[in-house]
Amino acid sequence: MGKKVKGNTSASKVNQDSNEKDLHSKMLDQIGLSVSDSKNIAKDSNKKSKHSNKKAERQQENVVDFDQEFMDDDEGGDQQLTLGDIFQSIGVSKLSEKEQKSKNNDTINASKLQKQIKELRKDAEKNPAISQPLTGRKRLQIEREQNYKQVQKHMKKWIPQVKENREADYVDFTTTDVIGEGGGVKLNSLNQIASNLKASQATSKLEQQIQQELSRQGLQSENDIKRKEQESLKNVLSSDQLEQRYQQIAQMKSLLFRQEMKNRRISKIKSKLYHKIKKREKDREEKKLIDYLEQIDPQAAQVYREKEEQKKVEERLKQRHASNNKFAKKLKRFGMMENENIRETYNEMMREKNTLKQRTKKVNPFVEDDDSDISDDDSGSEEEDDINAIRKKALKAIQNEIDDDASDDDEENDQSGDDDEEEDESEDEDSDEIDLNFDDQKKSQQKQKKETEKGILGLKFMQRGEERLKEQTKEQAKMLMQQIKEDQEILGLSDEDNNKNNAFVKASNKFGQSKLEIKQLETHNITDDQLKKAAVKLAGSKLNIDNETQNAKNSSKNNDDKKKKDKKQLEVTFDVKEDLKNFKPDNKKVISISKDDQVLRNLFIAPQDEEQAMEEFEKEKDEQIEDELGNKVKAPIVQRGWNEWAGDGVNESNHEKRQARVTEIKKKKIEELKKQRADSKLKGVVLNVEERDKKFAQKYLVKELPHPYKNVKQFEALMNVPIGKDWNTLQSHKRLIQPDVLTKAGTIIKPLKYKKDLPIRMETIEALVEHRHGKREKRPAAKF
Amino acid sequence: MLTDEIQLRLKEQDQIFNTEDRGFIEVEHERERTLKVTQAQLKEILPVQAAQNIFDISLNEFGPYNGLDVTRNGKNILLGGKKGHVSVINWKKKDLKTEFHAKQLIRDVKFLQNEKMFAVAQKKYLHIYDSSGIELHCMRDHQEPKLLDFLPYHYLLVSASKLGFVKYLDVSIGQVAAEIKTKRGEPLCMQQNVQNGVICVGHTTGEVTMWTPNMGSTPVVKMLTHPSAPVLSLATSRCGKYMVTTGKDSKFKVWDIRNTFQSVHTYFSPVPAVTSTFSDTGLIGLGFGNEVQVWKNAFAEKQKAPYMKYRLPNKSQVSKALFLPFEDVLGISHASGYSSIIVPGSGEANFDAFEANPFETKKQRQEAEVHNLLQKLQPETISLKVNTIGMIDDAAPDVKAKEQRELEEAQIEKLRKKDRKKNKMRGKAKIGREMGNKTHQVHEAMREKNKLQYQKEYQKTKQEQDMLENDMEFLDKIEDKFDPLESYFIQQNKPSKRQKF
Repeated sequence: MGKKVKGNTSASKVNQDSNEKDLHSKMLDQIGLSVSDSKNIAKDSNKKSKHSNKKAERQQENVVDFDQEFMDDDEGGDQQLTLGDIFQSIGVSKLSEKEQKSKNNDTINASKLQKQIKELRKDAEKNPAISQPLTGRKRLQIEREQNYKQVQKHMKKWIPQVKENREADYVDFTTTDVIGEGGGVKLNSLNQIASNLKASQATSKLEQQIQQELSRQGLQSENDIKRKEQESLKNVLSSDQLEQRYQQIAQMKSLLFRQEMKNRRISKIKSKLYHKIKKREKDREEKKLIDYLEQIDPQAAQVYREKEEQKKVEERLKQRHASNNKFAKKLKRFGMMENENIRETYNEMMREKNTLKQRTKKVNPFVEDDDSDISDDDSGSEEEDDINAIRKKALKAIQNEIDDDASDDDEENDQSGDDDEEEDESEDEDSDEIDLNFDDQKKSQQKQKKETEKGILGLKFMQRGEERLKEQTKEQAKMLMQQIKEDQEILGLSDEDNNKNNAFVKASNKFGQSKLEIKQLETHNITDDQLKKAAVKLAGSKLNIDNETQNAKNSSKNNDDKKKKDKKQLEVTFDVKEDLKNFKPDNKKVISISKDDQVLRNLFIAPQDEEQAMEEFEKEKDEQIEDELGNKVKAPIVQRGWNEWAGDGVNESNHEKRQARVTEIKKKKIEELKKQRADSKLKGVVLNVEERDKKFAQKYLVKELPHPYKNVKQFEALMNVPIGKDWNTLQSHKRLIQPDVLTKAGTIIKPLKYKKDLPIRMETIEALVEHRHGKREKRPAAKF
Repeated sequence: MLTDEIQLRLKEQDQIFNTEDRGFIEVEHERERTLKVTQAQLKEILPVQAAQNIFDISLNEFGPYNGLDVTRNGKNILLGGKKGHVSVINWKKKDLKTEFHAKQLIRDVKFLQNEKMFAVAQKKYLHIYDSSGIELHCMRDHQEPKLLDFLPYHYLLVSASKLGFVKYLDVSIGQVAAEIKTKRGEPLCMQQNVQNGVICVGHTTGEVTMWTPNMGSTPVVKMLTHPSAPVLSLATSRCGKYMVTTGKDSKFKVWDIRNTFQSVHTYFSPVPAVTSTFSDTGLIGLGFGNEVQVWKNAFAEKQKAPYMKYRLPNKSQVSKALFLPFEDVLGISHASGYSSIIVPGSGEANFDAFEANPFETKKQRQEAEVHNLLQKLQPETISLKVNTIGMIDDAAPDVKAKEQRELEEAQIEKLRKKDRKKNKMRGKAKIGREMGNKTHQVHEAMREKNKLQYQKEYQKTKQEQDMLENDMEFLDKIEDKFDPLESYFIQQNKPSKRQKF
């Protein structure tokens, strides 16, 4: 039975409708059907319920029948189920007990049933069928209210603490109770963390094992280990050995340090030049290897070389520098490529460029890339010089090659080398060195060539072809050289006043000379400057107390003469003084002013004049003030015909009287205001202090008395107290500038801790809560 | 304004910190006169260092030197000869810093915030030069400037032109702060009241007018100092209480310019004094003819004789005299150069290095300039009632309300002006614009088209997501060990399987 009751309640949870239909299903549940079964039945029952609406008794009978059918199906305890159960489950239905009883009589065990009913009633009273929860909005509202109450309750306990904090002058987060002892949590270094890890904290198996092993050896703490180490060292090493060892360690350390520094430096250097040099070195080494290879196995070397060449060609094809330049772009953009001639020239240009590039590549590693690369490297005059040097080298190299080609003999080669050396002598030392290096390189290259000629290129037709090629390249190189020379000339001309000399060497010589000249000029400049300064000082200021101006003048003049003799350039800069002498301001005006002065100085002023002037001033002042006040004073306007009788027999004098009266009133008012003015009693002074300085007032005056002050005096007294550092003691100054919140850098501030024993009256809290409640605006009543 | 307590404290401070004394020439006997002490005598008595301060610079060519100014720390002097010669001299070291010729008439010169910049009133315009004599600016809207002054706390350069204008130029931002028409013709002299920044101008009518940049063209104070005689020069004391004016009527008067604006004492000079100056200690210097007089204590009680007297050696006319700060020196510029004499007790003995430091280093100067710029006062703060700043406005409430209204209206008007923009249709039919419009339209259409698609997609995905969420929720309730991620993956994998088939 107990099970049934439970089933009843659980079923009632599922079906919570109040209409009969649901009651029906409830009953079914009570009978103990599973959910799935009940669903099947539900259809039938629904049908039946339609009928039942009409006749209640009949329905019940039906139900009973229904029950009985199923009761037969159920195996155990079927007899115990009664109608009472069913009706009880209906609960609130107003079926009279009599009816029940009469029906109960039909069944067996009436007394039992009665008991059951009683029990059931009790149960029902205890656990009434749970009503349906409220709909969403209403429920949410109630939830919110409850939530608010709870939160309020929770927050109440923080009030005293927060209040205290708010009322405090400053909040200190540097105390130990806020950040904990030892200055709070700090971000530890790895070492610290490591040292904090104690052996006892070993967690993993391995660690534990190690720990065990150590403890077995008697090395439980760090100190033990140290001691043991020291002992072992003592045993093994004598003092001399120790010293040696230390020295060794020091050496190692220094070596390591050096290496580190070197690494650092190398990693820093990433300039183009550096890489170029590196590349060159690499190339050289490669070349050596190839040479070596050639000696051993020339064919393999040839294969290798061809491979390299192929690679280069491929790369060149990929790059296509020339097709990307401005000219080419323009050609493409404006459709000029369709014109055959232009296309031809374009192609030719490309070809030429390629060949030239090849040549330059062979000649000088510095000119490998385009000119733009070089210019990109760095800026500054030094760099420009470098570029010039590079150009020169390139030129020489080309010339060398031309010479070489022209004469196949070794002797001429040597001569040209000599020539080079001669040229170099005239130039700076630095470039000299580089050039020599360069020559060496060249020689090595030539040797290579000869070696190769002995090999595969020894065939005749190959030689002829090569010669032809050489001639072509020679011409091109010559052209190029001329061009560069011209460029150089222009550069030289623009930089310094050099002669138009085609000879490159001579030009460079001259360059050096001109530099020297300039240096000399500079030294002249300095001395002359000094002289000039001294002269100007002496001549212009004559600061000495004793008047030795004449001497100074003489000296300055002498200096001037000297200057003139020295150089024309200097004169241009120092002519200011003479300019000053030549300059004459408008003399006429000066004279007139001085005359005026004299006239006025001789002027005699009589006391009457003064009085008169004063009177005039006073009159003016009165007029001005009256004018001003007249605008301010309001007086009724008297106009003929307004507020007057009109027509025959009206007295005209009335109007005049009125007018006079009004003007009189106005005058009186003005007089009164005049007396109020600050300058009313001051003779010869007009003060416009009375007039309001709007800009000043709006910006720098306080409009109304601020809240906590009771009167103006109080406020002004406080404002008069200086708060600067200079007017206060250090202590009070510190207090004045103290921040509201004190924190310690790098420390974590713990959240607020609840303090129990903070004194605060419950009344205040209640008041506060009430205040909060009061603050909430009530919803206004709806208006219709 | 200061309470008794504060005054007492200040006195104490003065005793503690200002330890240096000002040494005047004291008389031992009644009949002894300080007047009779000559510079030659002084030179013998004084220590060598001080005696070096007596010297003459003879500059005969480009005089008279109307322009004379000194930096606030008293290190450098600026000389401006009428015929165009300008020079900056470190007078103590006798070191000529800059010198150049403007090739124009020069009326006045003035240092700006420090010796690194100075203004020169030239024939036509106002020019500003730097310490090396390079012209930095030419202020063309200051036409025919005659007198110059500089308000160091406000960074305002004040110029009075021959045409009767007074202009305030904010040097820090290069804008004109205010422009005043004096309506009194050519001004003859001008000086600021150091205490409140009010500019006092003397006129040919014998009036002295005081101006602030706030009040437009009405002077704050107008006083008739020399009836029927032009005011030749005026000077105000450092404390801001007294003013000295000299007129063509051969009088010089001491005025109280705190409250009464009345003359305290009137003195006579043999000839009208051309220049007058106040020292930091309250000595008055006057220059007329080739003579310079120094009066001591002239405003407290009427003096019978000057404190000192000095005649220029070569009979040249005095054009300007100036007490140099922190030294007992009076600098006199005259027709043929500059001479400096010693007037014992004329210099302030205690200096405040934060204000003006005579021993300033380069770094300090730079630092001070930055500080001063940060602490710059607005031009509106200039007023006779400076002490009332921060006090309560005692005007009638209706006046205040009216002002407030006006202010608001002005602001609204300003906003309106900003809003209004002429809707010009020029250039609407430009080809570029038309093309732009067309492409814009195309883009818009595309966007519109895509929008529908996107919306559809969005809705679809949203629906799916909702379904998914719903399911997950349901599953959550039923199964405890339900893993939403797993189910999600299962769901995702399903369609792919279908695709395979």
